[in-house]
Amino acid sequence: MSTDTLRAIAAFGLRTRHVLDPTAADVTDVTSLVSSAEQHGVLGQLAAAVRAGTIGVLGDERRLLEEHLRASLTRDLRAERLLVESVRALDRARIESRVTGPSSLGRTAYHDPSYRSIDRIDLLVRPDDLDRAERAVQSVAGDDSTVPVHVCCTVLDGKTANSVPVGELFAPPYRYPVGMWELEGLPMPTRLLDACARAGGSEPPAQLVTLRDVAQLVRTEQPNAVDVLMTASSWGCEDAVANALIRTWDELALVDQPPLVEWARRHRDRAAGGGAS
Amino acid sequence: VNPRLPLRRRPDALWRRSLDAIVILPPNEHDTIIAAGVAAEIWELLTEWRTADALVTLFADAAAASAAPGASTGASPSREEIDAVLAGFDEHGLLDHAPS
Repeated sequence: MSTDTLRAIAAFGLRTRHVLDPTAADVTDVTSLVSSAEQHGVLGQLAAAVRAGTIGVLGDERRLLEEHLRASLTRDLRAERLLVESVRALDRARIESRVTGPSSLGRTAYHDPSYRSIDRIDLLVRPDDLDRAERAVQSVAGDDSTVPVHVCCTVLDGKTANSVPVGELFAPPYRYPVGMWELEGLPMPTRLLDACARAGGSEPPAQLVTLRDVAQLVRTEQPNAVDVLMTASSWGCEDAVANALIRTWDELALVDQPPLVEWARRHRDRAAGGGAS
Repeated sequence: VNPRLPLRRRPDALWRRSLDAIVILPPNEHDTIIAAGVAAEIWELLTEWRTADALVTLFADAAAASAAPGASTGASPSREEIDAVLAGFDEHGLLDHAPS
């Protein structure tokens, strides 16, 4: 499976310079295509390309794709139910929480949650509540191994995590519906910084879907660039945010260059030149 | 299912779209069910309260509207098909019934 084909699938539906060639050998090998798309969390984007007729998949191969999609969506649905039950358990224990990461993105960054698989559940709580929160979540998750449930007190990794004021993470939440429930996620720009940390944390990115998340958030939420830069600066994560934005735009070959991406490139150039950012 | 009693899909039933179908997780069950074809269309329509009678009319009107000029009306699901889909949803606890 060529990297360009996978990137083209990850960027499907966005304005991109990548071209999905339906006659390319790695596109016509549907078994491998499905497996690679699944590995990178972009099975939903592959389905969108098939649905749009950009890639022709017929007969047994279409059945294979449908089978994988149904299995993947079933896992997502069970994970989403576990998420709701976990949040309700925290509510009953009077523990304030925020849903972060992949388990919130399908509903907050994509127009249809079918396009974003849930490979883990992340719940943010205050440090003083951590022990009680873990017990509350364990009481509903039990031995359910649908997806791992992480209860944590910050959103970034490494030493940057310590520079994030907890109070800012618990600013008025972004509320969104899941079925008949309303969950509380991170508002902007925190949600974007969280997504950038997940997209820029490893080289190469563990999953292309983490890049798609960043692109989706920038496109759909159109975050205020000044808010993003001020928060990134105060949290000391400007480099990570700039790297994630540049990587997203370069790897997905996105055509539009929003002000945030222009800032990211200037920030990188200044850092490479040894100047202050 | 009473044909004159309004129904809607339960708001606590989580669901997703696959390529050719809708995957639904019934509220009190571990396994998902698959709604394809007419069943998927009915699931989408039941975002609002509708009676079985109203669904039959809706499908018939849609078939008539999509038929080629001069041709007889296009295919629409039969009353029995619609009833069977609704009964299947109801069996899995996926429907809210309006109070009669």
